Amino acid sequence: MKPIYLGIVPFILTILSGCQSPNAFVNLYTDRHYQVDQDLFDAFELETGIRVNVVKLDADPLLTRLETEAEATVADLVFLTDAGRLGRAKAKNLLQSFGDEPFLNLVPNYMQDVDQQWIALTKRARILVFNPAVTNVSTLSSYENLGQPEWYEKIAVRSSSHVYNQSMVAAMIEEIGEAETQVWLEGLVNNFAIRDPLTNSKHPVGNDRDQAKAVYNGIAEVAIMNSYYFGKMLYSEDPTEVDVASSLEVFFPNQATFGTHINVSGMGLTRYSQRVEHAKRLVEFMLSIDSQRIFADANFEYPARLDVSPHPLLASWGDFIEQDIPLSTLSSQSERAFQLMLEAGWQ
Amino acid sequence: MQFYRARFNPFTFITAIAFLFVCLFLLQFIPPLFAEAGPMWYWMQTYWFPDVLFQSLMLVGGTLVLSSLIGVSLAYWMSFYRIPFARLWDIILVIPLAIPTYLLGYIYVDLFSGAWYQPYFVITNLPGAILLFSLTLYPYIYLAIRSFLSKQPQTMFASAQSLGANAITMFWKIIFPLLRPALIGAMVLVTMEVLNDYGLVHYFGLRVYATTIFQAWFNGNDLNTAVRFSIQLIAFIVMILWLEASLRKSFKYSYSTTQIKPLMKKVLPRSTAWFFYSVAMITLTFALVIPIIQLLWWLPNVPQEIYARHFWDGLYSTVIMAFYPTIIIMILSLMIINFQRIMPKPWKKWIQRILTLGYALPGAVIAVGMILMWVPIDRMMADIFNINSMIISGSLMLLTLALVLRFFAVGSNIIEGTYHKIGMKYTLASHALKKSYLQTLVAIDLPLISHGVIAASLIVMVDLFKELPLTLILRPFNFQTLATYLYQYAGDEQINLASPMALMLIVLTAGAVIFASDMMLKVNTYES
Repeated sequence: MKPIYLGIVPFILTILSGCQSPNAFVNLYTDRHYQVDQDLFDAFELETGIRVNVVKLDADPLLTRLETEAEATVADLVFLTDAGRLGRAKAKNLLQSFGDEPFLNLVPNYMQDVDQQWIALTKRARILVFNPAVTNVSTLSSYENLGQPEWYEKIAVRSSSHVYNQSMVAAMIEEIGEAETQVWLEGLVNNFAIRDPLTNSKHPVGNDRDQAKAVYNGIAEVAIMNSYYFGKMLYSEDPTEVDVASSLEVFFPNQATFGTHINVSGMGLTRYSQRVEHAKRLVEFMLSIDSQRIFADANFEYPARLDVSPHPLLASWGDFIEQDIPLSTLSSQSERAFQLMLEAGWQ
Repeated sequence: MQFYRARFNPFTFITAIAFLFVCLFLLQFIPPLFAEAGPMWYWMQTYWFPDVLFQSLMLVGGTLVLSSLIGVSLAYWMSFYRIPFARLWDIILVIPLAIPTYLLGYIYVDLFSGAWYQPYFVITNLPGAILLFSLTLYPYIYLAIRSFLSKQPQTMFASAQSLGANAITMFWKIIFPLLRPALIGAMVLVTMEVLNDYGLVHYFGLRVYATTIFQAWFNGNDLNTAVRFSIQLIAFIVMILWLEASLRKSFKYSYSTTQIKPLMKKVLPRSTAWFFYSVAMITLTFALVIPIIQLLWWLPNVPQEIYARHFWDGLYSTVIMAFYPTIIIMILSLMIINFQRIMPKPWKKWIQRILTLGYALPGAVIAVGMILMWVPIDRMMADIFNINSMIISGSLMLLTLALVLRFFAVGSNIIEGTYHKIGMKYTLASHALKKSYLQTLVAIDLPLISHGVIAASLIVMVDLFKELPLTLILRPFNFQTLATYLYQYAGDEQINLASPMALMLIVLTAGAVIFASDMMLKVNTYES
């Protein structure tokens, strides 16, 4: 046999290795990419002998793939950031109910699906960040307030294509209705501080951390961002980020009304899962007190369980009233939310 | 017997399979086109589409102008003047090709973010994207022009000079018209790269075709709209290819003699030297020096566990992910080119063109098509063999097939160029001596075109190492390449932690780029 033909051997081996798997395993599709997730999966395998196989995909291709695979899918669980996406998975008929598992009682009702098709594991708040040397905290009150003319060119927030903003606006539609949301959005967009210097258009620039940096640099006064990014900045390897975050303060908006907007990462059980018991065990494991603490500490996310205290840093920001509309309603509004944002000129 | 052999041989067989596969793939886009358009289509037409057309055209046009300016001028000076350390310059000037444009974007965004100059330099916009694309793609132009000029006869320029033409007249009257075919070929390559990019345009939030197709398919949950936009893009690309073909036809030149005296290089005058060094230095500073210093700067703060967990795993996966498609593309190219070459027919040329169409399709479209095509086949197989797994879409096979479809043209064009040079005489002699087609291919053709095959594999690998959208969507369980790690860390606003992966990706790709360009310049295969 010529050596050239031997080249095909590793190829066949790779294909075969894709087919065989250890006896006990559970397959997970996720759009999260944090080291802590993998650490917990490893701990789960150590404890139960069940291996967690992971495909990391962006949420949307992930759902499309699951949809196309239908009953032939090998996925048992989806683990997604953003309640709107979990809701979309449900709407596409990709999930099934966890049934009557005791672990469902560990998490408040508004942080799980009404039909128990998905459940939150961690939580983050969409907070306001300001520089106490520039902005008086008493001028801050609510998200709606940021649409008022006195904040002209003072607001920093990332682009509308980001799901955290879409879910925030979707929640707003639920709370104050579509017409009022539209008015609020127009005011808010007009108040954007960051302009593209070339086109002079209001073009949000950068990610969540960049919004905080804009406040630090005096370009904006208030940034809307996710709580865990602010925590990560304080403990960053990059000294600039630590500088920025330690000179800014956190404000929880809407404490007098419907509460600060929260969003979750959660797991859903796929409709055609062939390892339902293993899948449930993994969810149960992720909701154990130890896992919840590890989750919270590694990533500055709030634990989904109310009886597990958050990271000391988050605790130092104090308790806050959180929006308690059922998060499973967000998905029905998110497409409309995105359209409203674009119509208001939020790039 | 001869009649039979020329028609029914392994080449025909393989080409038929490949053709069937590509046709099936393309055909599935037709039904959604005639399905009724959803509300998303109309909504996107109003609020989204005008931007898409404008931004796509600006992005492609701007990048073409800027990258041609850089590429043509550098190649011109390198070819006509005696520049110290010319061999070294030839290598350094193509290295930016090894830096994925999205990585450049991640690095510059991070560099600008939070600094006092942040408000004055916004790079996440159209001009920023044009600049970054030009910085990483100009080597395509440079290589094509450089290789073309190195084959031009001295006589033509000597005559012009003796007739009193100065450098400027000579460039516009003689050199530029001559280089048009090579330039247009390279510009088409740059256009494809720009239209196919997903990483950078997504990160910058630009509304171009790639992001729109994703937006419609995923956020809007509307495959029909996504397919309609894809068809528009395909039409756009077919138009460009047609334009290229017709332009090339009208610009075809040949020499009356086969005795070509190579160019005599002139002494570099001071003013030209100043131009050359400033263009080269500015380009390399922004494309190479600043990004690499920034990555090295981040390196000491990267925790050890990143190496233990991600670095080696990413490197291994990148190599595996590039290995199989490269091998398959090489074998397929040899088979399909020979199918056309042994008994040329116009319809065979058409089949070949359709097979290379994958290069014109954006990664997003190929990913959609591959899932729609193979998942049902997988489900059928699972039923028949009563197994509980997805044989193709659950393994590396789906990604491999998609990458072959996408990058087949890159490899096959280079091999075809090499074949063109050796002609048919050795092959026909071997056939006449009763050697089989396959024996001839292995024993006669391969040794003659080996340098072309190696150059082709290296160029294919450069593309594969950097590949992002297909790998992101189609990879199997627990599979992360260096590129997907970069995407992940950048998305998590922690690109600094991915600096070892970024540097490794650059080293790996740069190695391939340097070897490939060296071969191309030596054997002058960079022609159509």
